[in-house]
Amino acid sequence: MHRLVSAKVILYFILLAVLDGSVMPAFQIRSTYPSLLYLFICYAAFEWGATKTVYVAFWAGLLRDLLGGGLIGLDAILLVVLAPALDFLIQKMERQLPGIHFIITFLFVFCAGALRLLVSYAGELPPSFVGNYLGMITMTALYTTALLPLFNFLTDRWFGHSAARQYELFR
Amino acid sequence: MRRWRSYYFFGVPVVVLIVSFQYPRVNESVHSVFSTLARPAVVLGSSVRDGLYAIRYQSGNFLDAVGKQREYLARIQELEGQLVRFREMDRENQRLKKLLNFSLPLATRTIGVRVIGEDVTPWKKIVLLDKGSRNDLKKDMAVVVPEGLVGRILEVEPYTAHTILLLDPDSRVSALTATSRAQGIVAGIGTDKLQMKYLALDAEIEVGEDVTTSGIGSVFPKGLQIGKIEAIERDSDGLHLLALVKPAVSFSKLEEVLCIVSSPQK
Repeated sequence: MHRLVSAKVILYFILLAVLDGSVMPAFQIRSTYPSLLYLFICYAAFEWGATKTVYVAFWAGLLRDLLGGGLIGLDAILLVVLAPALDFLIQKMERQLPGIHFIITFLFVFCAGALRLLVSYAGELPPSFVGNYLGMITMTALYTTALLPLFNFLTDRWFGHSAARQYELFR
Repeated sequence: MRRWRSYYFFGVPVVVLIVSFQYPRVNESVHSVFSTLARPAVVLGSSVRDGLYAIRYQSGNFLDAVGKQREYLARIQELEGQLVRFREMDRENQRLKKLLNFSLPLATRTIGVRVIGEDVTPWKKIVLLDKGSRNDLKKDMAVVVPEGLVGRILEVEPYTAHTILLLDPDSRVSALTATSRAQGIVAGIGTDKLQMKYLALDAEIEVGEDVTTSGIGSVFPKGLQIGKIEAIERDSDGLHLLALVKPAVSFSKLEEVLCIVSSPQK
């Protein structure tokens, strides 16, 4: 993958945003459903390299802000802050561990949800709600992580299988 | 050059957030423009979602019906008997109301709308409707389905509207229990249940009692079904009772809803 500003990438962003907002609720389990935009950020981190992850995270966060209500830029900031941490974690994994993709994806989605919760309520969240919300964030992270193999397969098909990976040993 | 570009992208969302925070009108305008532009794609996505719901619903119904055919036939016979009795009770009710000189509410004007999207944040219960101010929708209009109250309109754009559901933690409705007539506030807690708060300690409420809107506050008409009481306990401050309410509406299956445009004459 050489260029982010291409029709394929822009179209894929729009498709994922529409799926996240309109179609994924049909697959909800106990009010939680996966986020394809988060999966795209993880895909960019695993496959395209550190310099591109931040851009993907920014546009994914902006689309999430525009789809939902509230302040524009909030999700964008949170994901842009988490993107370098995601890249750093991947760079430090020097040997292939079974399930490492899933663990990193789960941690990223969980941290994104927890940060969003923290910023949304700024410490004013009633203690009785914390358990419920953390449970929902954990379920969302698990559900999103479960879709990782299928998403990677379909995204590889969309963009064409690229040899430009971060780490040759990461498969 | 590449590193400089990455640092630039740290600054851009900060600037965007500051502008949104300082200028709420700009925030609303951008949301409005995006909702209008994205509406065709979101409506297309919602059609796909509706198709999936229909498949799931029909499959479930078919499997269920095959297994319960005899039970359904017996139940139909029982219900037909009840229907005859209820019709007679309704006629008697009409006569008694005339005798007491009750004035029945006039029919309210409603607009049917489709739910075409949802807020992507897990604990926020806000949905997107496919009509807006061009179709006479206004902020704070009540949204209902035949089963009961769904929520109210939060923001209106020209062709779409955001609706906050009862389940949202920021949702508040003044409510009344059907039998004991105890007043309280029903609030969402971010899950699939509701909480009825500020009930008097001596309120004679029971599990299984219906909860309806009280009409106080003039946002929601009186008498709209909210749900049934599932559990009762004391509040953490010990000064009020707290009731857990199971909503009458199945919020996970919202597809078409009604917006109440005009209030009934009193």
